[in-house]
Amino acid sequence: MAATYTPIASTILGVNASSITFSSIPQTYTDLIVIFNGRTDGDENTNLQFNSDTTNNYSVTALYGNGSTVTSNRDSNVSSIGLGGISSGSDEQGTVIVQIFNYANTTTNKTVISRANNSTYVQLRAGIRRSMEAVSAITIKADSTTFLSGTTFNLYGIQAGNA
Amino acid sequence: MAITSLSTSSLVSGVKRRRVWDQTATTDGFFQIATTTLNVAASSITFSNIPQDYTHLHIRGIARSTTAASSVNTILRFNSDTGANYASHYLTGNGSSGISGNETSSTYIYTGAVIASTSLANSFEACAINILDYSNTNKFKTVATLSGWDANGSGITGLWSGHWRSTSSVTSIILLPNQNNFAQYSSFALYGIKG
Repeated sequence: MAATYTPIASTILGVNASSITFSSIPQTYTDLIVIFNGRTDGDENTNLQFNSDTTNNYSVTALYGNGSTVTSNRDSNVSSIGLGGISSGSDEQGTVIVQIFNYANTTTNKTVISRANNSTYVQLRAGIRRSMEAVSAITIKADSTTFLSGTTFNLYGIQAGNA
Repeated sequence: MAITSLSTSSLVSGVKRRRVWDQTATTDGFFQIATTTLNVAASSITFSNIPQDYTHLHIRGIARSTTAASSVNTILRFNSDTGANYASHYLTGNGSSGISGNETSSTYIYTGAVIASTSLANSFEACAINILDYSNTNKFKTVATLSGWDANGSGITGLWSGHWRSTSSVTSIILLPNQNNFAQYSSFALYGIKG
């Protein structure tokens, strides 16, 4: 059986940046995984867009716990999929793991499930882009702030076996 | 005689290879096993004759149900066992509140909620299912799932866990919606994890 879960690209920010884009993504995998770890200089929330689409084609359902309560909410008709927060603390690092399923097909809208973890809460999210277009670019954005130098971003591809 | 592992590791083409004490080469990593994509709706998807030489199994999939509802549950069984040998717990969010529940002595393990036919067209639930120590004959089998879907105004995301009260090795897995069929383009891929 062939090995998979293949590193595609990675970046360690040398300077603060408001977003990072993985472009020209190979169309040869089944699923994509994006993992980023680090912090921002303000609002810790992050979000995702596909193929430079900034229109209100996205929505997301969230579940999060902060150590005392469990809450769920939803954003509909929004311009990105909210992924939850990493960290804005002085020395805290947060991690977000994003799973993008069947990104290269042209028969389904694109579904994303993700989890965000930091010292404040843990979040689970399910989001969608209402487009059957294959995903060739992924932009990860900090919400009204910047990712700090040292934040890492990794993209992996998982290729399913033969049908 | 106690055996001390004398191992060395190297990274070759992104795959970790380990040479153990007797010089047998093993390869750790994440491996493809099988994939099923539905060209037409079907009541279930089965992975059978599962190789026994991995440590854990992982299933990744997208699914939609043909049921005339906004969503239905997805369930899993091992080795064609339809007895009341399973249990599940879940923590989910529906966009307005968090919900936790469980089911005991059931005939299946819950593995998520799948979007169904009255919800947004062309949209699918996504799931990542982990089956730990599936070939170990000294343990009951534990399943952990992260799953979710969103339909721009409705949706469910959450964690599901379950167990099968059997020490049998897992040789087959069936996934099905608890009503009607999986829709066309539903797709599940099985992977094995070594190391």
